[in-house]
Amino acid sequence: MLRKLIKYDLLWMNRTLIIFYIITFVFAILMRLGENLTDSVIGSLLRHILPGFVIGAMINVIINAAIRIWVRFRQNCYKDEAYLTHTLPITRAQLYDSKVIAALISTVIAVAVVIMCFFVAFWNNDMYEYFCSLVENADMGFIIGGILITAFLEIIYVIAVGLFSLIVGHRRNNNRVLCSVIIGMVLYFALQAILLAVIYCIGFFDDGIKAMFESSPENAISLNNYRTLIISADTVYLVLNICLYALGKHYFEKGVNVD
Amino acid sequence: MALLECKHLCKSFDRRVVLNDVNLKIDKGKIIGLLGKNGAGKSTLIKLVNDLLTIDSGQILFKGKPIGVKSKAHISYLPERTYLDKTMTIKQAFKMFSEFYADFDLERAHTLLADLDLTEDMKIAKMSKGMQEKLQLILVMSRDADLYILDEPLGGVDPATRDHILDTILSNFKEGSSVIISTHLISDVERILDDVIFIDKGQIVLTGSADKLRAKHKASINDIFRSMFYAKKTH
Repeated sequence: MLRKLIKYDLLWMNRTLIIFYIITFVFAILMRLGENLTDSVIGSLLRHILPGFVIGAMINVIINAAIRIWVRFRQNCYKDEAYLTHTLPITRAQLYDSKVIAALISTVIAVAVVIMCFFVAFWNNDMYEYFCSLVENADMGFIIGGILITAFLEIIYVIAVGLFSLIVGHRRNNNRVLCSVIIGMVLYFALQAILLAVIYCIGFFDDGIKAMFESSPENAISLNNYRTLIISADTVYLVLNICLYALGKHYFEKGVNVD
Repeated sequence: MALLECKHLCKSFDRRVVLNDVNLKIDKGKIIGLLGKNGAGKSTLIKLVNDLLTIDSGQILFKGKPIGVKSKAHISYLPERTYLDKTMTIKQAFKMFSEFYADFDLERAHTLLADLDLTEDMKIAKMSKGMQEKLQLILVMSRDADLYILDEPLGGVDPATRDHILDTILSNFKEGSSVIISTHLISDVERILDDVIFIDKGQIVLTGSADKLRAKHKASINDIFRSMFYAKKTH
């Protein structure tokens, strides 16, 4: 049953997202082709405009993926479609898991599209050599990988906050959307504050991190500090994501009040 | 053992009590009319039975067990709303029901589809509201469920279509199963009802066999309903 639910969720989410993926790829390819148009005015114009378009399209892919995930969850679990969803012979835990797994898969696809489009549009020999020189240093390689993981976990975290807020907000009888939005924003900033607090606490045991919170943070810029920061951020994001998943599931399993 | 049983069921929205200590038993093999004015609590009761609302207090039992996955596999529910994913075609909707409901009869669905002048390749988004309601009725009545719950199946359709819908219900529900029809259009459904449940202001005010009630009051169910709920106001 879980597999069937995930299939329908992914079909719904990606039916629209695929259009944005194609548009992003087209911009990326045009940008690559535009490199050869050196002499014409149009070529020059394209070279100046397209980077903005490609970056905008890449950001749009991530934002739209998150929006589709939230909209699917709301429509499927609280609006008209909920009359079918909640009467299917499945447990609420299965339903919730299907939404979370489909959200994860959709996010991975969106991030993969963004990375591929980045390579198509911007990757060149200079960048390759620069990247090689960075990765030669194992610490820097670790940091680049860590930053990518942090970015991915941050996206997952934003989506998880959204899903959790929808569950809590829709437990009310009135002003459900407004309530969801307010809870989402408060939760996002509160949990970001927790992340900051955790890093501040690490500063009690690590002088490098402590220096970041003091008056001259330039002394704190070191590979070792970045490494500690990334490990801390990834760990906190992972814990927060797991907590949001567990809490969301707990509330969702208690039951819903469909509109 | 009753097919469906509600014990001391209560539901409020904020401070507004919508259902107050509802006790109810539905037996097998009956067509029951859940009758009441708009806002009487019919839809809330049905939504609670279908796990679409949380229960404040009380209990709902299906074949003696609390509602859950097993009851959902045996209850076929037609809501007031159009609940299908609009991006689907009828064929895809059939496939989805076949995948999730073991009792979905695809052959019956195709027969009903032809009877109601619909074709499999139609996209739900391009169908009128009436056509979507017909499709939902086909999906619900194509299941071999133990209990069919139909919430306002006649709402918003013309009298000729109402008869067609009632005939579709009568000729397609599984033998030995029960049907609950919630409606305020009593005169239209009266002819098919075995039992009636009158609900008003969140409470069950009258239950019984339709024939016995007619004999006792020497009036139609529609007239009994009117005398109970509308006569009071005129005095």
